[in-house]
Amino acid sequence: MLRFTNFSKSYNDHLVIAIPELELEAGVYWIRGENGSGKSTLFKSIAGLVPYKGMIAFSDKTDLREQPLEFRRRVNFSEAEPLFPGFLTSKDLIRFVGSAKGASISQQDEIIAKLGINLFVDQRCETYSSGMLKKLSIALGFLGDPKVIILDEPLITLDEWARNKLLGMIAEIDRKGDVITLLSSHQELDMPDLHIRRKFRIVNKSLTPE
Amino acid sequence: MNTHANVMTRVLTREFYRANAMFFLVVIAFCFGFMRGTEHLALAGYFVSSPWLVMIPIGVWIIYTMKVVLYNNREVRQERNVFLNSAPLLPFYVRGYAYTTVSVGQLAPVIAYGFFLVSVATTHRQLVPIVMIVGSLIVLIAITEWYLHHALVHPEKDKTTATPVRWLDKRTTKSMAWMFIEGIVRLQPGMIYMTKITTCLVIYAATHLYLYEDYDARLYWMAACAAFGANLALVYQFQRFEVVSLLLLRTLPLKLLTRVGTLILVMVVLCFPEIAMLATNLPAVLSSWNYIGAIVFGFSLIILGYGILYVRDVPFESFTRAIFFITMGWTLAILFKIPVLAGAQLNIAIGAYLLNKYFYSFELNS
Repeated sequence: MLRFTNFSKSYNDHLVIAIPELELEAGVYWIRGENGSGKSTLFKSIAGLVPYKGMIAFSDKTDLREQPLEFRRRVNFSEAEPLFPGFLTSKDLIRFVGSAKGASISQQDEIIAKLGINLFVDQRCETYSSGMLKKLSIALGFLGDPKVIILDEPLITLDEWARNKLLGMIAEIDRKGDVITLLSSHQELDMPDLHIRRKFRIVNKSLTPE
Repeated sequence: MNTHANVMTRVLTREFYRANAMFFLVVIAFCFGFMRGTEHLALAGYFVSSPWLVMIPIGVWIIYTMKVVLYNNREVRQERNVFLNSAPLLPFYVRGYAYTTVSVGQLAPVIAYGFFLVSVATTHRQLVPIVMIVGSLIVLIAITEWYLHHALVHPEKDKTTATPVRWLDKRTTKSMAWMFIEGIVRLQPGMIYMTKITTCLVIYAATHLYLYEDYDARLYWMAACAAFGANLALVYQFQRFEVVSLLLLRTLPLKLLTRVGTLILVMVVLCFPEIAMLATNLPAVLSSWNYIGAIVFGFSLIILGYGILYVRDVPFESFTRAIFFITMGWTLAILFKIPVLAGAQLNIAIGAYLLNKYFYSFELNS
């Protein structure tokens, strides 16, 4: 379980989002909101990329600020518009992030195959299309044994095959029963196997259940 | 006709000088700061004394022209410059005038020095070098124009990877340190070359000041302090790679010790010229402990700089100001006989404290 207590994020005294109290159990959560409503800021805060006020912690008291390494081991983040150094290959990045996240080589290769990354795994990122970059970013989000997977706009730029594969992967990981998957998407998540536990909308700088 | 030349000059020539301002500043400082007029004349006289020797400046001009051509190729493929792709559709004379204006503008330093050499060769009555200089200038301008035209006609060039590189990519996986090294080298090649040349000159000059008198170890340490202080600019690039180029690095569960270890490893590779220069130019009267002290102190500066960078997001100019004051402060401290190893301990302690306190709360301004 992931708990938010008095969470707020501001940029130069301008409040972007505030969550006084929230507990998230394992399951898939769909977070919606207008452009600039604060979805990405919320995700980046949970991923430890931007500082915030308040507390984000797991139920065993593993806090992002107090135990930054353990927290990061459990939280995977896939950006909306991923950007990687052009001279690195998918293999370089997957092996590197995989070893840091404790993912076995077989798990890394399985994810590579599932998303069809094996077709370009040895190519450098500078030669990728936006869809290929997105697949790579999503693959990095599933490495290791995460307890929270954050997928910021995971469906954009993906073809139909990759889209179905991804939704299948989310459904599969959800069946494990101990993973929180946070997604933001402007598109419909129409997949029969995919059970959305709860939908939220960011309205007036706060997270409101739909 | 003037409109097209004017636009292309503003987009390519002016931006070329703006992008390479640091390079030209160093060249100007070197040429006019270290050499007097008579020395310039003597050097030019030496160059034009034979057709073989005149090949030296021509060789340098060829390298400079390659730099110009590569810059133009890169710039015309930038999205913001897509409008330039219509230039090849202009009438021959109009586009020829525009290309010549751009090329002559970008090669202006070469052309100016070429005319200087021609004037010196004329006074020495050296006809062959004159022909070679004028001929090479014309060829270099023509090459620059041709490549500019070619890049504008073929802007769709694919991003491809060379076969040996692909072969290597297939068989190897890059380590974290290698990612940083390649990232920094690709991001700031000019900065690396200039830093290395300058710091090696500083070390060489400082270690050869007193060849026949007693050498003071403080001078050696001050040179090391200046050299590693200059390399803090590369530490800035290291941190940019960590927080901008490969953002996911910050989301990984890596210990701070691992991150600092990677920094040290990367900087050992990037500072190899300084480390080697300090070793090979260690004055005979100094012991190897002085060398070890200088290296430890140098790397303590790097850890301190890395820690400072995480206090808050600062532009490069502000950080260079901080580098200046830190380096000056330590130079004075060394002058007043503060032991370098004690200084190194202090630097490491402050750097470690800052990293521990600010690493996870660091936020980019934009």
